[in-house]
Amino acid sequence: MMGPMNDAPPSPPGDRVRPGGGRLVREPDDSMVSGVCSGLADWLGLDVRLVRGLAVILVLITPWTLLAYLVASFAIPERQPHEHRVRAERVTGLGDAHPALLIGGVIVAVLLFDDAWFLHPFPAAVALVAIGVWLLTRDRDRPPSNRNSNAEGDRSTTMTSGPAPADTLAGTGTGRSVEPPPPGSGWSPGPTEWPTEQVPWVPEPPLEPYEPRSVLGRAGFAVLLLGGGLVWLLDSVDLIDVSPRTAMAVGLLGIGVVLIVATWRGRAAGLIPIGFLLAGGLVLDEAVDVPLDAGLGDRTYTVDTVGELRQDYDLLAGEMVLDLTAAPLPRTGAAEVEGDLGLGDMEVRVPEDARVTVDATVQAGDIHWPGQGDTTEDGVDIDRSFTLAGEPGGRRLHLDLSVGVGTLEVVRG
Amino acid sequence: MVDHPFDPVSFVLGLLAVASGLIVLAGGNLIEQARILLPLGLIAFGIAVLVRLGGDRTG
Repeated sequence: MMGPMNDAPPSPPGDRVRPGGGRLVREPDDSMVSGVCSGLADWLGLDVRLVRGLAVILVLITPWTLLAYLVASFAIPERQPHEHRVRAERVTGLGDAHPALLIGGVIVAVLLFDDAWFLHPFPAAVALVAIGVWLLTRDRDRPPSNRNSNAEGDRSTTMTSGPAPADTLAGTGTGRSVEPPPPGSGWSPGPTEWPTEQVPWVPEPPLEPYEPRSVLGRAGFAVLLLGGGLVWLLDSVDLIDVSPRTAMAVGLLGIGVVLIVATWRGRAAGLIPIGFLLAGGLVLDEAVDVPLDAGLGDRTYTVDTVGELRQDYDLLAGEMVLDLTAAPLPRTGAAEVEGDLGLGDMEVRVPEDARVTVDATVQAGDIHWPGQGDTTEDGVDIDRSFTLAGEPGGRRLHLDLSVGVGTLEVVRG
Repeated sequence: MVDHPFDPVSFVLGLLAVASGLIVLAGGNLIEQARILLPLGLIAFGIAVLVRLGGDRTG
C-alpha cells in the first residue's frame, strides 16, 4: 500500500515549465529561512545557490533587501504539501531568462553603479531597443508544443498527492495519463509504491479548452520599449528633441490603443500597470516643480567659488545637500538661489553671518529652520517665508526652495 | 489573437489612457482634467459592465 507522499512530492518530468511560466511559491522543503530564494530559483530556472548568494550580496549592499525579503515572505504563498514542486527549465543563456531577471538586474545595476557608463542615455537606450527586439522575436523560436506542455504543467501542480488511481495512471476515463517515468529520470515513487489496491474512481472535471497565450500585451510592451529606446537614442545624439513628458504621453496613448484592441481581441492586462506608472509620472511632473530629467539619487553641491554658484538646483528624487556656507556672496545686493526637489530630503547650509531670506514650499512633509521658538512646520501645502538675521551690512542671500514630498531643512553652516 | 467577450476593464482603461495621452500632448494638465476624466471613467465603466452583462444574458 502506498503511504502518503512526503511533503515534497518530486516533480514528474512533465512538470517542467519555462522560466516564469509556473506559479511563484515559497518552497518549504528547501528553505533556509522561509523559502523565498528557493521558490524564486524554481520559478526563474536558476540554481538556488546563485539566488541565495545574490541575496546575501544585496543584503550587504542595502538593508532594504531584508525588508523586501520580509514582504516577500508574507506576499508569496507557500507551496502546499499536496502540490507538486514545479521547477522551471534551467536557464542556460540570456535568451531563456525571464524578463523579471533582466528588470531585477537593471535595478541592482542602478543601486550598485549609480554613475556607471552603461546607465548613461546612449547605452541604456540601446539596451531598451535590444530588449524590445528580443521580446518580439523570442516566442517565434519557441515550439508551440512547449506552450501546451506549460498548460498541462500548470494543471499538474493542482493534482493532489496520495495514491494515484489506477485508471488515471492507465489513462482511462479522462483522456489524460501519467506515464511512469523512465528509469533514471530522477522521479520515481519507488518500486513498491504504485497502488496495489483498487481505488474508487473519481472523475476529474473536464479540462478547460486551451486558450493560447495572447501575444498582444507582450507585443505592445516590446513596441513600447523599442519606441522609447529609439526616441531616447535619437534624443541623446541630438537628432530630435523630445521631452520626457511628451514621450510618456505618447506611450500612454499607445497603451490605450492596445487596451482598446484588447477589449475584443487578445489580452493585454500586463500593460495596465505600465499605463498607471506613466500616468503617475505625468501627474508627478505636474504636481512638483521639477523636470523629469532632473536626475535621481543623492546629490551634494558645495559652492566655494563664484563659478560654482548656480541659480537653480533641481533633483527629481533623492537627497539633496546644498552647501552654501563658503559661497562667495556679493557684498551688494542679494544672491538668488533656487532649489527644487520632487521627492526626498533637501538640506541647505547657509553662511553663519549672512542675512538669509527664504521662501519655502512643501507639498507634503515638513520644514525646519534655525531660530528660537517654533521653527518647524509639517503637513500638506506648506508655504512658509522666514528670515535668518545676519550681520549688519553683511552679505545677503535669498533662497527660493521647493520640495514636493519630503523634508526641507535650512541650517546655519 | 483570439476573439473573446467584451472586456469592460480594458475598454475603459484604454479610453482613459488615450484621453490622458491626448490631453498631455495638447498641452493640457492631467490634474486639472482629472475632475472630469475620473467621473467620466466611472460612468463609462458602469455602462461597459452593463453592456457586458447584457451580452452575457443574450449570448
